[in-house]
Amino acid sequence: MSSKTEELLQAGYRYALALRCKEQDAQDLVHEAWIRLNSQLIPLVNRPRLVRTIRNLYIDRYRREQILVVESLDEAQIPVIEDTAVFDHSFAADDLDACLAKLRPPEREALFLNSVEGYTAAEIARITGRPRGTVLSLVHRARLKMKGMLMDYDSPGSRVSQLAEANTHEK
Amino acid sequence: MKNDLDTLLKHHYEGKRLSDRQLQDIDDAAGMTQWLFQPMMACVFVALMTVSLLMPAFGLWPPGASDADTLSADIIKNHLAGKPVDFQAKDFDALTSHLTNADLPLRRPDLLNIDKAIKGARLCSLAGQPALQIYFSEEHQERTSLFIAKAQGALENIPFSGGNFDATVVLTWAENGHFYALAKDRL
Repeated sequence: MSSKTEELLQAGYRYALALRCKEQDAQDLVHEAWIRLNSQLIPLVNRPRLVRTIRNLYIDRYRREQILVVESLDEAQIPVIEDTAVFDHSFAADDLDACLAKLRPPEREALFLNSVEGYTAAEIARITGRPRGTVLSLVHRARLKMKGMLMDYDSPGSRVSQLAEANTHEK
Repeated sequence: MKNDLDTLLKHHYEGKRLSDRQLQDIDDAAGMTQWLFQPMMACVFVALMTVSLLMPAFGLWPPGASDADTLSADIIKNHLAGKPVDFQAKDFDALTSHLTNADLPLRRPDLLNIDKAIKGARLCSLAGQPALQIYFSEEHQERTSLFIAKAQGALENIPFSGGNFDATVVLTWAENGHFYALAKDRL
């Protein structure tokens, strides 16, 4: 397998993970998208097409969840802090996963595309088919929520922090 | 160590990778699909192209109307449309002159003797050829149109024929290098 293909698949997997937040589901999405693109009469596989195919598959497969948007009752209790916060230590991957899983899928997707992939709001709007204003709002909300949750992890004695420590001891 | 959120997330997602085994599985599955679908799709494509090319040779396709039907439909459409005239009767001399310059000299058909007065004329299209539609004065709300065109292309070698189409009678013929058609309301 060429390094370009591998890079493409890894990028697709990370995007699928941002959409779905479950490793097995993300693997399935990439797998199916890759097969779908390669089974076309003229297989043209590039990053934008892979991203679009993964996104379409995700919408098809998890349509029910898209329609029935369940807002968590705890959402209001997620602490929100200022946008310039920095964190004093590295977080375990599980902690970050747990925080990311608490975001709504559109927020997670927008945050991933903005923070990790470096797309602008206009570009994300084009990829996701949402208005630019909505994208800005999603990114902003997602960042505030993430920082709030991570600061909660950061503060010693917090409930989340204690749980994280307990997990570390167990490991 | 201080991290902002972007750096934290970048590091986090960089750690999320498919294993070599998973990558290989995906690539293998795609490869199998390619081998399965590519020749199959190519065969289907070639078969469809062959069939579509051969069908007209066997007279199976296209199942469209004949040239005569298309011509009659054009004549009836123009006759029933009753569009306004481009040339009034008083301008007929000028029109005749223009048409002669345009290599379509206006000539009264020998086979037809119409005693009605000409109301006017308009340019139209019959079977893709330019034609002149002449309106005659109505009697008892019975409209009559005479079409004149150069006998060329689809309008060449048209035999004398006539037919009734719903509320219209159509006669077509060719004489002296001209194509003529007469359309008249059926009462």
